[in-house]
Amino acid sequence: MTGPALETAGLGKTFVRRKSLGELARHPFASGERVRALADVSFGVARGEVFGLLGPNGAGKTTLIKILSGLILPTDGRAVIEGADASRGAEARKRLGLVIADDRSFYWRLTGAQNLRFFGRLHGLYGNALERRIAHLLERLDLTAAAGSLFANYSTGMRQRLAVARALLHDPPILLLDEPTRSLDPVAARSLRRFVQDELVGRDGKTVLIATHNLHEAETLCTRLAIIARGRIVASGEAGLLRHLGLHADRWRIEGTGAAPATDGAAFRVEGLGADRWRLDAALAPGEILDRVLERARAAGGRIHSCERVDSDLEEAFEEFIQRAERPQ
Amino acid sequence: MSWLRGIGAFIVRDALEDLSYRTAFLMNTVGILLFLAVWYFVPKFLLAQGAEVEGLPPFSWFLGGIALWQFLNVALSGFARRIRKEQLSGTLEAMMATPARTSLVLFGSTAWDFLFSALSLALYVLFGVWIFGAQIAVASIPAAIVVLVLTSLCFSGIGILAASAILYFKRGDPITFLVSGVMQLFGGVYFPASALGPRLQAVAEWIPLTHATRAFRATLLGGASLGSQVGDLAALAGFSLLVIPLGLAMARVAIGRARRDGTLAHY
Repeated sequence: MTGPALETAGLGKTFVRRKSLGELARHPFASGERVRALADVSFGVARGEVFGLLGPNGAGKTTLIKILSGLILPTDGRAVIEGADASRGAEARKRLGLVIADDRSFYWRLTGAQNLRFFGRLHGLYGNALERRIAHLLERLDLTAAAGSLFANYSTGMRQRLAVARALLHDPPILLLDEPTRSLDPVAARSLRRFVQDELVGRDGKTVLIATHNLHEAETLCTRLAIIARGRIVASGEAGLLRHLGLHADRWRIEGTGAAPATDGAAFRVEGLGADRWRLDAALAPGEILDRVLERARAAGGRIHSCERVDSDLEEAFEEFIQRAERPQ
Repeated sequence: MSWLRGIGAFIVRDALEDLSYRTAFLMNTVGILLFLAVWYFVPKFLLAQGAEVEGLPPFSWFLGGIALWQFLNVALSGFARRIRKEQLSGTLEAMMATPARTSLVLFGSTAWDFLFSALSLALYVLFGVWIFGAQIAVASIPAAIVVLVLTSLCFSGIGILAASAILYFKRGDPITFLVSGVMQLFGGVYFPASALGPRLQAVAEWIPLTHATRAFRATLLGGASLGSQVGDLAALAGFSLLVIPLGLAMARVAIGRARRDGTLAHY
């Protein structure tokens, strides 16, 4: 099959807020306030790609994921999953596996295996074929030992792995992951990211769309990214997008005197501090070493007086970027 | 996917869940006994020795009505209760994200409840006969089962309408409460419809439960054949043909609205 695995065209979603009793009494015939959750979202995801939707809470990531999985109907535009309209019928849902970060979506008084068996049957899988599939997935996700335990007794990491197993039951070509590492500790999160990268994409060749607000996750996992804020895509591009925008995880602040280096994009930003002093905020590309940045800083002839890592600015920088993007032009 | 296999998946799921509450089964059985005991002694207290109700011993008459009503209550309120439970537990979205049809999710969600209630109904009848001396026409049990199935279909349609209300308005209790109240008042469960007087009795003929209790008592307790109950069976079939498609259509509308509003998981 040719063409993108998944694409959206002018996708929009407006919710009508329910009126309070007071509003209902004052304006009985007026409709509720309209809240624009998504506006003019257009992108395509190629087969075998890991595409990231990066945005703060409330940006519209989950709304977009739910539209793609058919749980919410769009107000405008359309979403197509391997040629099938996401809003109509079951065809699109057969091609998708959905992982939502909500452990309420399982039956707590059933075991992990029993949960998978039920959802597998909803996908039309039965008998030995289903049992083999369940055993295979439990083994891949290191849940075999816990298969007979009640879901209620699973740790957060185990629950998330079971959610991945459920999404893979019918072996869909496309996976939608909605903040899959949100509740996980760093070790579990890293393990899941590695599984996505090495197993799902590397070995199985699946197409993955991941919604996240974790900058490091977006940067390390995704081949392409779209930054979404207030329901709109404000930037999109290849894996180096964050660095290009100055949002890279590895940031350094260098201060010096004398001739200042020239600003070179958001990844190499120079600011004058007055009295012959300057400050350089630099974002390192993956694999790039600090020495190269220092060379560039000295290239203009100035002298470096201090150099420090500023990891904590990443979230601030992202917030600043979002605010800049939302400002009227 | 085979629809019946899908129903089977729901039955297994719910049976496993219910079986995990072991004490509940015992309590349910004890509850049936206690409930029957109340309805054994109330007519004994209120009615003269040897009195009959519509040609049947009082306890047998009550048994027919209350056993049937307990079973049909599942059809009436079970859909709404199950949908609400799926919303509260967060599993409704997970199911709707699969290719499973709306009708499968709806009917499947109550399939185990129906089976369990059929078992409870059997216990009502067995305890009523063995412990409290009710008399049934054993040969007419198959006919009574046919009445039961047809009545279940009719009440399922009403139940799906109530479930649609849950999905649409996020509350369905007032609807099932209202419908349940009307059914119990007019349906001949606790007193014959003739006690309502001619005008209200005419209203009772438009209530499906009236036909159900009449046909069920006539077959299970009176030994009547299905052929003699054609009128009531035709009424039940007519109600079913009306409410089932209406219920499924309303369910699709409700789910469509929930998808438009993004409130499928809301409660």
